[in-house]
Amino acid sequence: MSGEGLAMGRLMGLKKNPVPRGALLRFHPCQAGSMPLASIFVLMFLLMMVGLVGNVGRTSRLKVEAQNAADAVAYSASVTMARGMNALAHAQHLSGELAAIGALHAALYGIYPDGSIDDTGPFSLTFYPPGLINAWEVHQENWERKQSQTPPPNRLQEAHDWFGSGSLGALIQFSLSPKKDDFATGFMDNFVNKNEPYNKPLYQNLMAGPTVVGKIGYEASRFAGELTGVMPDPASAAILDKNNHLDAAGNMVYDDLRGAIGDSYRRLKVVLFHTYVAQFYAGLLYEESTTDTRKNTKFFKDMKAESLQIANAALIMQKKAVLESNALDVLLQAARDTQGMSASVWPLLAAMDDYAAQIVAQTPDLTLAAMDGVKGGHVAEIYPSRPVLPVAREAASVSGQSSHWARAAAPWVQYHRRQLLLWGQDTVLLGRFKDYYWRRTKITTEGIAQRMKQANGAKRAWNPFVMAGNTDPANHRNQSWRNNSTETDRYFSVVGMVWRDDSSSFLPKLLQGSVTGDGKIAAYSQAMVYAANPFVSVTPTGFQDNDGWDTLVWANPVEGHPGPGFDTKTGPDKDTAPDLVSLPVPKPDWEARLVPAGRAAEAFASFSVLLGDFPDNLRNIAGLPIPFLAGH
Amino acid sequence: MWNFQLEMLWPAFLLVAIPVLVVGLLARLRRFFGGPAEPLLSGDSGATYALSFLMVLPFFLVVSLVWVEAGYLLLAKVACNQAAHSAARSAAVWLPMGQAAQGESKVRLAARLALTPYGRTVSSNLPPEPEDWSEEEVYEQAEWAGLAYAMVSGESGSEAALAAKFTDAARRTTVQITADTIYDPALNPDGEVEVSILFQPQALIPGVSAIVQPSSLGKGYHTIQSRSGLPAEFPRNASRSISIPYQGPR
Repeated sequence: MSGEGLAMGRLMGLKKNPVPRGALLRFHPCQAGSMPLASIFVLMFLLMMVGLVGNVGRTSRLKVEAQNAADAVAYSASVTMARGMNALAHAQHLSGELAAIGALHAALYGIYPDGSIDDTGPFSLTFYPPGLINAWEVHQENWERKQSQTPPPNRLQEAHDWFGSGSLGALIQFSLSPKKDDFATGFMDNFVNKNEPYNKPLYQNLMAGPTVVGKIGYEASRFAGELTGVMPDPASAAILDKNNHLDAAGNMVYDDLRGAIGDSYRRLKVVLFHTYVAQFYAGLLYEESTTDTRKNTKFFKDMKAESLQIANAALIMQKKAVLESNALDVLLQAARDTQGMSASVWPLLAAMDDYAAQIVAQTPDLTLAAMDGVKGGHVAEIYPSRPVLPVAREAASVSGQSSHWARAAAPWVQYHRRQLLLWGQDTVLLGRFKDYYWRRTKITTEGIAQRMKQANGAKRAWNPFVMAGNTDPANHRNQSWRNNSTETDRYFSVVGMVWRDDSSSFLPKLLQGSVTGDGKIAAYSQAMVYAANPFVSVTPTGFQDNDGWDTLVWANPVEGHPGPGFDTKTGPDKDTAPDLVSLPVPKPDWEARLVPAGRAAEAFASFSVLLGDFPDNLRNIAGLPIPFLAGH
Repeated sequence: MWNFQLEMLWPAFLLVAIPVLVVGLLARLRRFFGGPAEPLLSGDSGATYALSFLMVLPFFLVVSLVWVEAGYLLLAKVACNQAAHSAARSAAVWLPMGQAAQGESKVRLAARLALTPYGRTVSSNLPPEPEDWSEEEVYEQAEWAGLAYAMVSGESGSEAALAAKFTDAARRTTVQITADTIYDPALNPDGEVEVSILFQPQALIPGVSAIVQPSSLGKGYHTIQSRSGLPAEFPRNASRSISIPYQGPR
């Protein structure tokens, strides 16, 4: 036995009752193998140290991976929602452009894509142009004033004064009423068919009633033409019958006198009637100046020359009206030919409505698919479990004028009508085509929006999608989430949660994936879908504010409805309105970004109840203050 | 290798260690029961002597402690990296929200939470106070952190100790945020935010720490730095904006 063995026995407290030396010695007789044993334990300790460091590193990596996965899950879901919002906005912009085609054509031809007729009726000239009425009022005042004079005014002198300037404008603005003018009374007595309601206001008669009055005017001008030698343009008489026909009952039917084309035709009839009357007056003057006993005086010679001047000016006007009528004929033919194209817009609008509805319906599934694509080796959930786009159908009570459809269509209407307005300004001047078309497009933009909302009696109304949470349907920007982050989160945010098992050991307790011991490493994140377009409040009245968070977003400020330069009393700004219109460019710019996790507690509380394998640490911290949860 | 775990080494280690122990034990048992000694591990082969063992022991201990200290430093470095990542993520999330002071506080909170496991309940050898040190902020955050860890672990009563660890870790952590201030849509449409973490953990074995990191000589704490950068998605130019006054959770 060695001394070392004895020492060991003493150390073990076996001094008085030592283990039989033989036995201990037999068990461990020498130092053999002592170093390998020590080395084993040292190695084991060192390996444990290495294992600890390695495990901490590994857990750290897993934590970062989990956080990245949670970020990716939340971000992907939000990106999917952003894509849904952009697709929806694009779809609605496209619907707006299609509706604009329908509105533009209906304004021209009076038939909407769904086949309904623009029931606005012919525009009354008592509204526009006001010059005609004003001219009559001025004339009436002068007439009454002169009637009260003594001696009574010379009738021919009055006529001379009336046409004294010889200007074409004054001639056109001349107005006639059977009740107020002796000349007219005689004219009517001689030529008007007693069955015709000649005592009605003349313009109304000419615009909306049969054109017999116009024909009578033409006959009167022919009568005067036989005296003066200036016959009216026979082609102009055909305009009076333009596109009308008698039905089986003998009533006049106005086939194509709808829309702006019909308005211009009616306007031309009024103009022509005035030229006929002017020629008739010219005939009277001519006859008076050539038959009166004083016909050789300078006054009557001048009257004769002037009567011929008036008759010729009226003839020129008639020829101009015929040219404009020809231009309108071409436009009318084009409108007829494109009616089918306009009608084809309607099923396209129906398809677009279906498409938009599908975008809204399918986005939740797509967010889940996106989540599955990025979660890696984690179990992943998102909250809400089926994120829906923050949109809702516009209320049915919103009128066509205030509807999103009018907003969507108006910029296209105003841009595309520009060329036709300029054409009308240059080509159909007497017919006032530009003004009528401007007015008709305003009406039909609202009209088609209304028809889309009612879908013309179809089973489902095509109400546009607007941002959700709107408490005031009349104001599309009246949502409380615009100024309340909590509500903004509720509508626009998605929480991503991921976890995976972590079987690492030898870790400080606080470093373990789950300190509650369920062996899971968990992470969460929140992302938000938001509109990256800046808010641009447009100063000129009639433009659309570009507020970004919307289902309609434009790259640049665009006109709203009814557009710039519109005055309800004086009508469109005839000179500048078309030039203000720029090409509308839709720019849906919904994006996604990570945001503080304000909905984390809500999400944990929801899933901890539903899911058995939900990580304990997430389950337990659902009650933490939001600022802390969001500060991770 | 993605699923490689160090635990996998333990069976291999035991595979070697157990036969050695078994063979040694068998040899002694045979001897004990009077069997022949020679064939199994007999003689002085592999033995050492007490004197030489004592001579080697100090060096052996120092090397072992250096191992421990180096391991501890490695742990702290790993934690510092994670803290930098966590803080950079927090900066990317919070800073564009438009409230700089609140955002920077959240960034510091993220770094401190990641480093809390390396804090001490009893502080000593503290480094100089960080520039962004605010007792009010840290105490408030520590209260939250203690509450959070207690809630997560389900161990009520541990709040104070954990809050103390958080406070100690916070006291040793300096966070520096560098955010892009020049917007260049062509080169850098989202902007970049970078966070540098300076972590100065208490030395585990003060005498040995200087061998591992000479700069800790006489200080009693190590100095570790990590940095991490992330795109911050700053919607801050004229054509890119959140455009409503979103302030984050309140």
